[in-house]
Amino acid sequence: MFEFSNAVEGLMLLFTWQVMAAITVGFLLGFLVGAVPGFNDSNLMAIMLPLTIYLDPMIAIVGMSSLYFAAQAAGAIPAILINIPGTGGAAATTIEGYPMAQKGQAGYALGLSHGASFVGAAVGALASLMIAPALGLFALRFGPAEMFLLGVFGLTIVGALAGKDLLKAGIAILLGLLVSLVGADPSTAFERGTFGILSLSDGISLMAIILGLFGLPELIDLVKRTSVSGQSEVSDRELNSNLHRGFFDAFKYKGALAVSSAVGLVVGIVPGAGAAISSFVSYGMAKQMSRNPQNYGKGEPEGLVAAECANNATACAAIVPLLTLGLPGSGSTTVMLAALILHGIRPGPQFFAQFQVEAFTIFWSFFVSAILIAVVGCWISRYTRRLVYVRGYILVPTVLLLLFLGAYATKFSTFDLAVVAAFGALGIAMRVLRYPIPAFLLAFILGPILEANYLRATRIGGLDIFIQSGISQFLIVLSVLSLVIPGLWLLRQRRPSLQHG
Amino acid sequence: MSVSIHFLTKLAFPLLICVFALGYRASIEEAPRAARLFPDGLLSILILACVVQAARSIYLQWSKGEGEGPELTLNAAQIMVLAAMVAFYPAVLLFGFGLPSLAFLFCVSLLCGATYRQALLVTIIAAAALYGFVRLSGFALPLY
Repeated sequence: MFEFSNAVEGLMLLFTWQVMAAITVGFLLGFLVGAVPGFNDSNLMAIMLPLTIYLDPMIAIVGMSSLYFAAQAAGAIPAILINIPGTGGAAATTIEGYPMAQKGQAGYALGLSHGASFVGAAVGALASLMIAPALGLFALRFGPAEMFLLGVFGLTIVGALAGKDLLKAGIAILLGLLVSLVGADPSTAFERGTFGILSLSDGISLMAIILGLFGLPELIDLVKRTSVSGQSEVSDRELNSNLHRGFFDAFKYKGALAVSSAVGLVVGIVPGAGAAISSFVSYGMAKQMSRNPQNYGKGEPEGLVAAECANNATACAAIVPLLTLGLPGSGSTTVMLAALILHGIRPGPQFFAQFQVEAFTIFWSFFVSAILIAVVGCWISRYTRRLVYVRGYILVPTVLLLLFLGAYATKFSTFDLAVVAAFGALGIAMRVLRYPIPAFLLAFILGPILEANYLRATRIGGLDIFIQSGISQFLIVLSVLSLVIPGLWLLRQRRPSLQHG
Repeated sequence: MSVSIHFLTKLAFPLLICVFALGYRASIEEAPRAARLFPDGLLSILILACVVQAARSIYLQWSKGEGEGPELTLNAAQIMVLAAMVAFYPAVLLFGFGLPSLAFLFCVSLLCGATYRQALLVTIIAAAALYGFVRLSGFALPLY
């Protein structure tokens, strides 16, 4: 049951020095590393994950969510300065941001993006705080059959949206599920898929898999380039003088901010849709509603504001289905789910009932992150922008070594070094051959839950139990739709090109 | 029509997964029903999906010539870094973390385009930071 006192207690917990320190450190790390192009937010979070292992779970999760928001906001820095989005959500930012930088308005564009990010994050935080308790209470009605179908729905959504190729997504999901079942079976202790390797009896370390799949391919990709960016730096004078002016000017675009916040929230709450979708949709809507659509693509501030506001609102809202239903909708929220599980917290229907105070603290922390984007973001942008030009020969070896040490630190097992290398190779192959990596990771996380709930449900009521309740039927329909709709959309896209051919 | 490395990789990947799946199936043949029920179904679908994917790659190669594109572009430096990563595990088993970490930092730095002097500088700074961290935090890292 939702209690107002828990919300207040959650707020009080926020003001302990440990939590505030975690938010600040997470924010600074996220902002610093988020500004480095080549690292997307999920890879960045995966690499940072080992640093949180020894922290109190609450502090670690708040720090990780702060890092996640900061990375979203900082993704605009390389998008504006060198036309490479720091995160997927900042892809639409490049359309207007980079032309502005080319016109000598880089500082102004950065200020605008931080102002819009602040509004998006604040609106997203407020909405999440109001929606999450209701969704959490509803989720309590879920039994084993519903939980199994919810997991299946999560997999279909991430699989369908992660790649254009449903068959490849299916293979990635099935492989992830199988790999998650490697090790001793929890009910019978029979070893499955260990191939006689003793170190695999406990299963494969989630941390090693995350670091291998997400971190290594990104770093190997960076080896190609001698520097992360090959472009010249913008002038300090322009940047310093226009950054604050840009921040306050963002509030002038009230219409774009309102529409983008709403779009960002709706897209964020739908599991599977991500910040990239919301920012492009908002950008398109801003262009349609604009009096000067001909200026779009040439450095129009309104377009930049719309894209940045939407992606930050989505980032906040995406945490709601993650915490209440256990459904991550993107690569970064999948890593967030992994972070929660590594700290012994299993998000899902029971989460809001068991950890209501902690859940509120997480949502309140979003407000602090929004304020930090406004206050610290503008100030620190002057320095973090230099990271855009950092040399690959410094970044790659040091981060690679940190990655190996992070994998080792989880279980103090040298075998995990081999696991990281093996899954790094798998990640590179999947990336080159375009198999969706987030779908594999989500399947790996959900595998044991799916198996346990499947066995529990079939013991209670056979296979019929999966179609008995209204929620189950609704989830089956949603799962089918999430597979059919992208398929139809792809067919529709291919048809004109075939006709053209 | 030439057969490219890219096509072979596209073909090899699902087939390798198939081999893994068959090995997995062999490992659970004698398992109790509760331990076998869920993975058994998954394995059948996975093997089928991989066969379909491999067949599709062959069809696309023969009918449209797809797979000859230069999508697989790992350069020599990237392959060397991958080799260094693979060698890191046995090196740690033999010598502890200290020496292999230094060698790893130096080699990868060189492969990323650093001069000898720059690579040495990166190695010294990173090694000093790592050593300082281990000493100060009491982190149980076997350096040698």
